[in-house]
Amino acid sequence: MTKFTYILKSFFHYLKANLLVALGVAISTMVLTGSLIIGDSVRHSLEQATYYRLGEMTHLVAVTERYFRQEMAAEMEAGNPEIHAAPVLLLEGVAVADGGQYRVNRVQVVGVDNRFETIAGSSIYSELKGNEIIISRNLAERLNATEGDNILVRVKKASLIPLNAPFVSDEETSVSLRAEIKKIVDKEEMGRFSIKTSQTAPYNIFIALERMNQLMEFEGKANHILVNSNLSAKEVQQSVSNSLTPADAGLKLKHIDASSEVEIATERVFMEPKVAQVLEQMPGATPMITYFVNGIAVQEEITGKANGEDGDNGEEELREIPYSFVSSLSEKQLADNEIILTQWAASDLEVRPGDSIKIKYLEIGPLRQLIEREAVFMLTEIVPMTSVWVDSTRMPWLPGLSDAGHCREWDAGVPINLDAIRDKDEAYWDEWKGTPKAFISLNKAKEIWENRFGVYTAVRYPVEAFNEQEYQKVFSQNIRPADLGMAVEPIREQGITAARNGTDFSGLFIGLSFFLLAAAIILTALLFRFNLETRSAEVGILSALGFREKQVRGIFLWEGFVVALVGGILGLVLSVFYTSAVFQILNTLWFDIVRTNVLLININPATLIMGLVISLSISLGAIYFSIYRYQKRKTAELQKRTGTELKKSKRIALDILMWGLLIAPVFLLLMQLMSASELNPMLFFLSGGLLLSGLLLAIRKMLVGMEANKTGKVRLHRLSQLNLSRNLGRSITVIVLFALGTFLVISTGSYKLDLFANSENKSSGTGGFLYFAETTMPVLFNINDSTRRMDEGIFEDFNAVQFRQVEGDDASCLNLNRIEQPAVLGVDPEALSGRFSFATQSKEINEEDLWLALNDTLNDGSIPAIADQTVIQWGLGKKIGDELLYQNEKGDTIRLRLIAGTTPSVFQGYIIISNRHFLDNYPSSSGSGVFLIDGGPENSEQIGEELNSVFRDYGWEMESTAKRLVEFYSVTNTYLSIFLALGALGMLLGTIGLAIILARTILERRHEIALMQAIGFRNRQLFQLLVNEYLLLLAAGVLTGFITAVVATLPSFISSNTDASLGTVAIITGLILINGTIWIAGLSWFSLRRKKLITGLRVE
Amino acid sequence: MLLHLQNVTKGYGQPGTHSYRPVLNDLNLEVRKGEKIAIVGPSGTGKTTLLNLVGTLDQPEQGKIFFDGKDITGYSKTELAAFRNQHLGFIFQSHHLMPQLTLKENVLLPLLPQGKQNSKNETEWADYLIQKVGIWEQRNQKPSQLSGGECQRTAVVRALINKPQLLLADEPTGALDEGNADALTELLLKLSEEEGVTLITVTHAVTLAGSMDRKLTLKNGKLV
Repeated sequence: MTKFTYILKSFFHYLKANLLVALGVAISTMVLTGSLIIGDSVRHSLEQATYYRLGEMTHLVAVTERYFRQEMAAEMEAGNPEIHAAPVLLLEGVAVADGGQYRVNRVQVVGVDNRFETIAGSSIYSELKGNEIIISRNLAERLNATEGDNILVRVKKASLIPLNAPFVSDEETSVSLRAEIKKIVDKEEMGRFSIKTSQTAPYNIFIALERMNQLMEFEGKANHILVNSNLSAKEVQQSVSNSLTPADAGLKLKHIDASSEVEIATERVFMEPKVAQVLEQMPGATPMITYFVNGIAVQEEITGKANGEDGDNGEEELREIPYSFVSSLSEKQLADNEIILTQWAASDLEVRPGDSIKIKYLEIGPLRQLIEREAVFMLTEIVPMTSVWVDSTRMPWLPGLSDAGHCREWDAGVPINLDAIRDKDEAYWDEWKGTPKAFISLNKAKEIWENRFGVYTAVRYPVEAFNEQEYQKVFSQNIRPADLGMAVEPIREQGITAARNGTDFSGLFIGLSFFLLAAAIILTALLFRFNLETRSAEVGILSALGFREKQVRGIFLWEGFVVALVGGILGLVLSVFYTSAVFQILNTLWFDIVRTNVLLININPATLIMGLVISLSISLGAIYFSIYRYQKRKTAELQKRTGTELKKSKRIALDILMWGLLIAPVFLLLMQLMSASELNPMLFFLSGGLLLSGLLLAIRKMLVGMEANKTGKVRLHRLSQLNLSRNLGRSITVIVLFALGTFLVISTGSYKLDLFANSENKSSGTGGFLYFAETTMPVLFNINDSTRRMDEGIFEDFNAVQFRQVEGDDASCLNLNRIEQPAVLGVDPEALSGRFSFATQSKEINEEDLWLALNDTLNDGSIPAIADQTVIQWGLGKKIGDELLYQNEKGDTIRLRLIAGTTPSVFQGYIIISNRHFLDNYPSSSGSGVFLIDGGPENSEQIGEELNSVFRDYGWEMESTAKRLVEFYSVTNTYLSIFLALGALGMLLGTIGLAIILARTILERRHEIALMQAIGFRNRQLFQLLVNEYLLLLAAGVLTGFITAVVATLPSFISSNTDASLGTVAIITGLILINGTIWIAGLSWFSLRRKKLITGLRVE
Repeated sequence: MLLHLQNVTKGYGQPGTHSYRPVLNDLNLEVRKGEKIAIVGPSGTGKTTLLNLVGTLDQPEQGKIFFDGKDITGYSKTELAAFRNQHLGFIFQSHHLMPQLTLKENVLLPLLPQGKQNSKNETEWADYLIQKVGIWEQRNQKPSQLSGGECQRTAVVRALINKPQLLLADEPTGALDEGNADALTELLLKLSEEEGVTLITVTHAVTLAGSMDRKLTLKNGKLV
C-alpha cells in the first residue's frame, strides 16, 4: 500500500462527503473561471469590434477641420510600395427617411473611392455612382429602409475656410441630397467602419468621394487617409511628410501681371502663423493683409489730433464710404499712423493729404461676437487709379463676397446695412470689385487685424526673385504635417491596446460575485471541516502510529486536492454554462453595460487552467486552514474528539480587537456627522465593515459566555444556548454567512442611485440645467444673442451655455475601451460658476469656484482641465494632478492637467477646459456642438420644442439633463443589479450552508434527540428546541448585517439623491429572514419525523 | 531500564485558575525491558492521561520521561513522531482501524511514515502476524466486515508491525465480550512474551490485570 492508494481509498470511502466538498469547489471554480472567461470574451469581442471597425486599416492620417489633396494618398503609395492608402472625406450628417418619420442624427458620411477596397476588402464601394449610397445595417434598421429606397442625407458643410473666420458666410452649415440606398452592409463589409475607439457601432453612409467633393464644392479633397502598412507610425509619418505640398496647406500660387509679382495666398483667408513665418522669410517677400472694413470716414478735428489711436469724442465725422477693402503696404512706404487713399476714395471723401481718416472695422470674437473698432490715420498720399494701385487681386477669396455680382448680394457673414450702400458704391463694385480703396502700414494692419485664424492674407514676391522649386523646397523643409494639424496614428495598435486595457470584466465580475465566491469558499472549508471532524480519530491515530504532522497534513491535503480537482473540473464545465448565461443576460437585460451585439464567448485554454489553478489554490488554502487548525489540537484530544479552551492571552487579544472594532467605527461616525462638511461614503463603508467584524467577535464572545454561564437550571432555551456554544465554529460560520450576505445585499441595494432626485438643483449632476444638447452641424453663432434669436425665430426665455468641441473618443462608462484622448470641450468658465459639485480637487488650486480656475495657466505651462470623477478614475485610469496629452492644431503637444473631478454629472465622457485655452490651441474650431440649456422648469417643454424645431437641420439632439444622467448611471445601477443578483445566489448558497450545518448537527445529535424522545420530550418541543437554536443564529447574522449595512450606507439614507429607504431595506431583510426560517423549520421538522426513536438509541 | 517517569505532573485547565484540575502529581515510574505492567484505578484518576504521556501523545507540565536512558520530553514534534513509529505500539479501547482500508492495509499503515511499505521483510512479518492471530482469511476485508474481536486483533498486529519496544494498551478489552476479551488477553501476553515487548496496559479488567507482572494503582495522582 502506498500513500496514493491510501488517499484514493479515502476519497472513494468518503465519496458522498467528498462530493459535497467538490460541489463547493465547483461553485467557486465556476464563478471564478466564469468571471475570467467573461473578461477574456469581452476583451476578445472588443478586439473583434476593432477589426470590424478598422478593416485592413493600420494607420490613420487625420486632420481636424481642414482638407488636403486626395493625391497625397497616391503619392504616399508611390513613395513607398509598402503603403496602401485610401483617401476618404469623412463628415457628420443626418439621415431622414419617410418624410421625416425616421431621423437619425450623428451619422458618419464617408466619401470613398475604389481605393477604399484595400481597407474594406470588398469591391462594392468602387461601384458607387452619383447619389447612390451604401448604408450600415443598424442605420437601415433605424430608418426602416431597404435597398433601393431613397433617403434624405444632410451632411455638415465642409469648408476650406474655417467656418468662424471673419467674413465667411454662416448661412450654409449643411448640404442635402436625396440618395438611393444601393446596398446595406454588415460588419463583415465595413458596416461598422469607425475611426473612434468604441465598441458601439456607428451609423454609416458611404458615398462616392467625387460626389462628396461636389457637394462640398471642393475638388479632389479628403480629410483622412486610411493606411494599410506594416511600417511604423514614424515611417508612415515620414511618407506623409514627403508627400506634403503647399496645396495641402491650402496655399495657392498666382501671377499678378500688373505688378509683375507672384502671390501666395491661402484658401483659409488668413495664413496660419507658422506658414506665414516661412513665407515671409523667402527672398523678396512682401506680406499683405487685406481686410473688409465697415467704413472709411473723414473726420474733422475739433480738439484732438490725429495720432493713429482710436478716435476721441471731440471729433466729428463728416463723410463716409461704406464697406470697403483696405490693404497693407510695407513699413518703408507708410508709417503706422499714415494712410493712403485711392483717388476714388479721396474724391468721395473730399479729403486732402493731412486730413484725419477713420477706419471702422469689425473684430470677430468667438461665436461671431462682433466688436466694432475704429482706428484713425493721417492721410499722407492720394494715389491715382492706375493698375499699380488699383489691384483687385489684393482682395482675398471670400465666398459670398468675391462671387457677388452686386453689393446687395453680399453675404459676408457680418451684418451689412444695405441702406448705406450708395449707387456709386455699386458702380465701384461693378468696375473694380473689391479693389482696396485705402492702404495702411503692414505693422498697423497686423496690430489691428491679426486674429486667431492667422495674420496675412497673401505674401507677394517680385517675379524675378521667385523660384517655384525653391518655394516647394522651403515649404517641405519647414512645414511638418503636424504644423497643419495633421497626425498619423497607429490606429489599429491603439485600438487593440484600448480593447485589451479596457474595462476589466474579469476583475469586475470577480468583484461583483465576491459574496457568491466567498460563500462557496466558506462552504468548501465548512464541508471539509465536517469531514475532518468525522475523521478526527483518524488524524489522532495516524499521529499515534508515528506519522509526522507534515505527513498527516500531506495525506489530507492530497486527498483535498483530489476532491478539489474533481470539483474544479466540474466547475470548469459549469463555468461555460455560467458564462453563456451571463452573456445571454449581458446581451439582453444588461445591454446598458456592453452596448454592442458582438459580444462573443471566447474560451481560452490558458484561462481555464488559470481559473482551475486559482480556484484549486483557494480551495486548498481553505482545506489547509481547516487541517492546520485541526492539527493544532493535541493528538490525544483528536482521538477522543474533545476540544480545548482558548488560552487566556488569546482571549484577551480577541477582546481588545473586538472593542477596538466596535469603538473605532462609532468614533469615525461621530466625527463624520459632527464635523465634516461633506459626508464621505468610503468612511461610512469602512465604519460598517469594522462594525461588522466587531459585532461578529462580540457574538462569538456571547456564545462562549453562554456555556460559562452555569445557572444550574435546565430549560429548553438553555439547551439551545448550550448547543450553540458547543459548536462554536459552526454557529459562527452561519452567522458570518448571513451577516456578510445581508450586509452586501442591503448596502448594494442602498447605493442604487436615483438620479432624478434634486435634478433641478444647481449643485446636482445636472448643474440645474434643463437640457443637454448635441448637434451634428456646429452652431456658429451665440444662441443667447437677442438679435440672432429674433432672426432664428427663438422666443422662449432660456439661457444656453455653448461648448466648443475637439473630437475625441467617448470616455464615458458606456465605452468599454481604455481611452487615451477623450473629446475636449471648451467653455466660458463663468457660465458654469456655482454649478455642479466636485468629488475631488487638486490641492494647488486656491480658487473658491473651481470652474474659474480653468482660466489659469499652471506654473508648468499645462492647461487646467476638469472632468467627471468617474471618467477620470475608470474611463481614463487617471487621478487628479495627472496629465492628458493632445496635439493642438499647430502641431504642438499640449498638456491638460486634471485639477478637479465632478460628482456624477452630465459631463461624462468629456474633458472640459476654458474657451481661452481652447481657442489658443484650436483656433479653427468652428462653432459649438454641445449645449446646456437653462430655463424655468415650468417652460421646459416649450423651450425643448422650440429648440428642437429651430435647430432641427443642425442635427439637434436634446435630452433632459436628468435623463442623460440616468442613462450614464444606468450602467452603475446595472452593475449593482448584477451584484445583487449574484449576491442573492450567494445568499442561496449561504442558506444551503445553513441547511447542511443543520442537517449535519441533527445527524450528530441523533443520539441526544433519541434520548430526549425516550425520556418523554414531544416532537413539538424538540422542533422548538432545534428551530430556536438556529433561528437565533439566523437572527444574529441578519441583524448584524442589517445594522452594519445601514451604518455603511448612512450617506445614502441621508442623501436625497438615492432611493435608499429603510422600508426597502426592511423588505430585503424580511425576505432573507423568511427564506432562512423556512429552511430551518423545514429541515428540523423533516429530520424529527424521519428519525425513529429506536434507530438513535440503537446507535447509542 | 526501558522507561523512567521522573516527578511527572499533569492537569487539565489553565494552571493557576480555579478551573485547573490536577491529575498526575509528582508521579514516578520505572519499567524494565520485557516487563508487563497493569495500571488500574477508578475512572477519572488519570490512567489514560498517564498512558498518553508515556506514548508522547501529550506533554507533562513538569517532570521528565526517559526512554532507554534518553530524555524524550525535549523531543521535537517530528522526533516524537519518529519515536512513536519506531519504538511504540498503541492499542486503544476502540480499535480505531481506518474504515477505508482492508485489514492487511491497516496493518501495514505504520510502515508508511518510514517508506517501508514495500519492504519484503516487513510484508512477510505482517503476514506472519496476521496468520498468527488467526485473521488471515479476513485479510482483504474492510473493518466494517469484521467482528469486534477481529478488529481488535488487527489493531494488535498493527501495533506490533514495527517491532516496538513498548506496547501501550488503553483498555484493550473494554469493548469486547468476555470470550473475545480473554482471547485477546492471551494473545497480548503471548505475543509480548515471544517478541520481548514491554507492555503497559490500562485496564479495569481483572483477568488482564491479574496476568501482568506488576499491577499498579493510580490514586491521588500517584502510582501505588
